[in-house]
Amino acid sequence: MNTASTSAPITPTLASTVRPSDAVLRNPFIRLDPLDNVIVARLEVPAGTPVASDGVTTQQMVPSGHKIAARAIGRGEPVLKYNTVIGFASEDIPAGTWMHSHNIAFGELVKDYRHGLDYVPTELLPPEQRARFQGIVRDDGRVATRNYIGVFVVSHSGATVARKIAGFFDADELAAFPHIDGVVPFVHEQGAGMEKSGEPMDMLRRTIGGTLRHPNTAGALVIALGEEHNELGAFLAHQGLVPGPMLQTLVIQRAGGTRKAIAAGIAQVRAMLPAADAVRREPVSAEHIMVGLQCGGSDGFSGLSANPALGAAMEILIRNGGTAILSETSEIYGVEHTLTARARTPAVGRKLVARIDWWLDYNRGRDTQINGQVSPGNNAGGLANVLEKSLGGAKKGGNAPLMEVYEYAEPVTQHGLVFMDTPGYDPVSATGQIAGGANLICFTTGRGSCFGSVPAPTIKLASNTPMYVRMQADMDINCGPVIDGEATLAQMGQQIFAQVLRHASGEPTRSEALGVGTNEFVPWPLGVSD
Amino acid sequence: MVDISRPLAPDTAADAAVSAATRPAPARLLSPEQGASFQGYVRPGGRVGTRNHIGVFVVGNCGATAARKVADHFTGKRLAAFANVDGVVPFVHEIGCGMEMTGEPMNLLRRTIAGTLRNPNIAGAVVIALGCERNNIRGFFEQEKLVAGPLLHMLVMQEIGGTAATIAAGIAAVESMLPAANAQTRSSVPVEHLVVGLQSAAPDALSAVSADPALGAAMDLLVRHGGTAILSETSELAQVEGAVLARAASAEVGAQLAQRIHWWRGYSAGRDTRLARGDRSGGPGTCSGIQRAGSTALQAVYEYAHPVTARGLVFMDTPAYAAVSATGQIAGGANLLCLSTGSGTGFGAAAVPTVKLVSNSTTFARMEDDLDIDCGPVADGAVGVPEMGRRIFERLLDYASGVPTKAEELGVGDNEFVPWPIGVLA
Repeated sequence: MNTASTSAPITPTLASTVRPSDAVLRNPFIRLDPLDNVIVARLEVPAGTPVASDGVTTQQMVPSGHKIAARAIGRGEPVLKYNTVIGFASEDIPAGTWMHSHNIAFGELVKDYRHGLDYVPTELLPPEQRARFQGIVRDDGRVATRNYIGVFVVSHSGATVARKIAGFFDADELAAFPHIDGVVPFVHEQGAGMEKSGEPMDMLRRTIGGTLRHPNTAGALVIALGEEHNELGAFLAHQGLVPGPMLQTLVIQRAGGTRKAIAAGIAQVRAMLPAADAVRREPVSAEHIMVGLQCGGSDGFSGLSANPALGAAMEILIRNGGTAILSETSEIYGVEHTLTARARTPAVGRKLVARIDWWLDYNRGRDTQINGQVSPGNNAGGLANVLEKSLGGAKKGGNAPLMEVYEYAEPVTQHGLVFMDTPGYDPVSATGQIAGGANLICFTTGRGSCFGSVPAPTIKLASNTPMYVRMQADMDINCGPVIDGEATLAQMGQQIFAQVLRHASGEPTRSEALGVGTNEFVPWPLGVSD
Repeated sequence: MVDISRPLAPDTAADAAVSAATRPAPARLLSPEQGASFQGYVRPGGRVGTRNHIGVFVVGNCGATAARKVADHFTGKRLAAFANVDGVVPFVHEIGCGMEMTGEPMNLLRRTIAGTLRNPNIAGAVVIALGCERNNIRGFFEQEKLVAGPLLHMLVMQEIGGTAATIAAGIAAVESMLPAANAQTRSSVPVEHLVVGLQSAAPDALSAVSADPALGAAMDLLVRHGGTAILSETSELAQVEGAVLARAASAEVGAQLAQRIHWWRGYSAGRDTRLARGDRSGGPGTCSGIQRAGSTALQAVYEYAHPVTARGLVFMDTPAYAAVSATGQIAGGANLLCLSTGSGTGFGAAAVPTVKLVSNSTTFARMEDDLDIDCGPVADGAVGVPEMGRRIFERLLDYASGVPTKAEELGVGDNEFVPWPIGVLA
C-alpha cells in the first residue's frame, strides 16, 4: 500500500458558495471508526480520485455524504459504519466502490439487548455549579421558556374560529403586554369523525391536555362546536381540567355561530392578557430545561456532525440535571440494543423493546421506514437504509443512561435521557414531546428543514455548511465545521449547549422570527375515520 | 329447499335481489331548451367553475406555513384590481411525509391534491414542497400527469433557500397568474355542469323530516336537468345498506356499493365508530342520509377522490366526517356542496361554496350568520317538500352563479381541506 503518494487536488463539483477548507481538500473522506470498511465523502468526489488515507481509488463519482468501500468487501459480508452493522454486501465489492442501497442489502440481525447491564449513573454537577438560564417560574414550580396564550380546539370543527381568534391578536393588539410571546392557535384534523373511545381518543385528549398544561402556556381557551366525538365536558374530565379565569371554554353552537363565537373568544382571551403578562424571567438552573430531540431531512452528514454534536450538548445538559427526550421509534429501530444496554433498569429496556415490537406490528406489510424504506430525500443524501439512518439518529441523545420510556404525549417526569414513543414524522413527534413537557426542541437536518413549533420553540442545527449557507434564514446553528475539519464534536457540543441556554432565556430562534409553528401541532392520528 | 345447516346468505345478496326488483325508473331528462342555467366559468376542456380561485398547495405538512403565508399575502386590498378572482386559498394538510411511500395511502393523497388542483374552481395553482417529503413533488407531478407551466408552479423550499425565500417566490408566482385568472369571466351555462356534493353535519331528529327530503327534491330537479349529485358518507349509509343497494341503477353498481360497505365493516371492526356501534343520525329507524339523494337511481360508484364523470346521482366512498368527505368530493370535481344540519355547524369548504341547510327554524335563528337555507317551514307544515325543493334548487343556481354563501362571507375554508388519512405513520 503506497501511503506516501499524494492525492490529486479535488475540485469540488457540488454547487456551493463555500470554499472547502484545507482539511477537506487534503482528504475528502471521513473515517468514523478504525474497524469500519466504509468511509464517507465530505463532498462530491469524481471517479478515479485516489484516497491516500485508505490507499484506494474511487471507482465511480461519489455524491457528497455517500460512502465508498475502504477495502474489498465480499458478497454477504457485513458493512460496518461506526463499527456497527448497517447491512450486508449484496455482491462482491471492489475497494473504492460507491456503496449505497444498490449494493447494501438490509438483512436480519440478531440483537443482544443486555437490558440494563451497561448502566452507569450520570455524575451530576452539584446544584451550585449548574448552568443557569432566564426562565419563568410557574406556581407549581415548573419553568417556562416562553409565555403564550393558546387557543385550542377539541375537534377540527372549531379550527376556523380558533385561527381567527388567535389571528386577531397581532403585534399591535399585544403591544401593551410585552411579556406575552403571542396568542397561538392549536388546531388539528381530529376530534370529529373518529373513534369515540379507546387509545386514539385517549391519545388525542392527553396531547391537547398536555399542551394546554405546558409551562409555556400561560392561559388557554378551549373551543368546541358543541357535538363532536371529543366532547368538551368529557375531555375536561378525562384530563382533570377545571375551567377558571386562565382556562376558558367556548361552544360555537351555544354562542350562536362562527361570527359570535369569534367575538366572544376574543373577549375571553383579552380578559386573560393582564394576568398572563404579569410574569418576569429570573435565573434558574439548567435542570429545568427539557429538550425534545428531532431530526428531519437527514443526509449522510447528519450522523457525522449535527447528531453527535447535539448528543455532546445533551450530555452536558444531563450532567446539569436537565432532560433530553429521544423519540422517533421507527427511526431507532435496528440500534435499540445500544439503548437497552444502558437502561436504568431491565424493565426500562424491555419497555423500549415492547414499543419497537408494537411498531413492527403497526407497520407490518406497509411501505415504511421500519421495513427498510428511507424517504427519497434521506436516500439521495447517502443513507442506504433504516439501520444507517437509525445509527446516526440515535446519536442525538449522546451516551447518557436511558432513564425511562414514555408513551406518546405522556408527562415526562424523570430527568436525564428518556425515550418517548413517537412516529418519526416530525410534527407528530414534536407535538408528543411538547405535550409531555419539552420546553425546547432541538432539530437536526442535513437537507434543510423549515420546521418550527409552539409553545416550545425549535432550534435547528444544520449538518453541513453549504446547506447552512443556502438556508441561513431558517438555520440556528451550523454543525458544518465538524465536517469541514474546523471544530471537534466536543467544541460543537459546548457551543450548542451555550446557545440552548440563550434560546431558553428568550432569544428568538429563526423559526420564531419567521412566524413558523402554528401549522405544526399535529396529534398522532392513530385510529380509523368514522 | 333451504339448507339450515349453512349460515344465512349475507344481507347484501338479499338486498341485491331486492335491488333488481325495485330499481328506480330512469330519470326523465329535460330538453336543453326547457332547462335552467347558471353563470359559470367555462374552463378549457369544457368543465365549468362556480368560483375562480388560485390555490396554494403543499405535497406535505412541511410546506404548510409557507403556503399559508403566500395565500394570506393576498388580502382583499391586494386583490382589488382583480375583481374576477375570488381569492387565493391555502390547501394545507397534516400528511405527505412520515407515511407509507407507496400503496393506497399515498395514491389517495396524491389524487386528492391533484383532483383539487384540477377542480374547475381553481384557475391556477402553486405547489410547495420542502424537498425531501415521502410524497416527493416530482413523483407527485409524474404520477398525476401534471405539467408545470404558467398556471401551475412548483416551488421546492430546499432548492429556493428556505421559508422566507419560498414565500417571496410563491407571492411572485401567484402575482404572475392573477392577470390570466382575472381574464376569466362568467357566462350562461346549462345546469348539467353543476356537480353537487351532498354533506351532513350535526343532524337532528327533524333532519329526516325537513332538510334532507327537501334537499332530495332539489337533487331530483338537478338530475332531471342533467346535473350530478354525489352521495357519500359510506359509514353512515351502511346503516341502511338495503335501502342504498335498492337504489343502484344496475347490478354492477349494486355490487360495487356492496363491496365498499363490506370494506367499511372490516375497517371499523372492533372500533368505537358509528358503524360498529350501529348509530344512525337522527335516531333509530331513520334513513335521512339516503333522503338527501332524492329518488333517482345511483348511476356509478367512485372511490375516494376519483374523478366523477357520470351524470345523475352517483356515489363516492368517503367517511361521514364532513371535512374529509367534502375534500374527496371536491377532488372528484364537485363545484358546489350542500350540507344538511340540525343543530348547526360553521363548516365551509375551500374554493367550492358550501350551502348549509338547516332542519329547523330555531337553529336557523340562533346561527343565522352561518346557515343559508331554513328548511324549518317544512317541519312546521307551512311549506311542502316539493315546494321547498324547488326553492332550494333556485337558490343553488344563485350560489353557483356567484352569490356568496354564509361560509364565504365569514371567510371559512382555509382549514377544511382534509385528505383522508387512511394509512399508518412511520
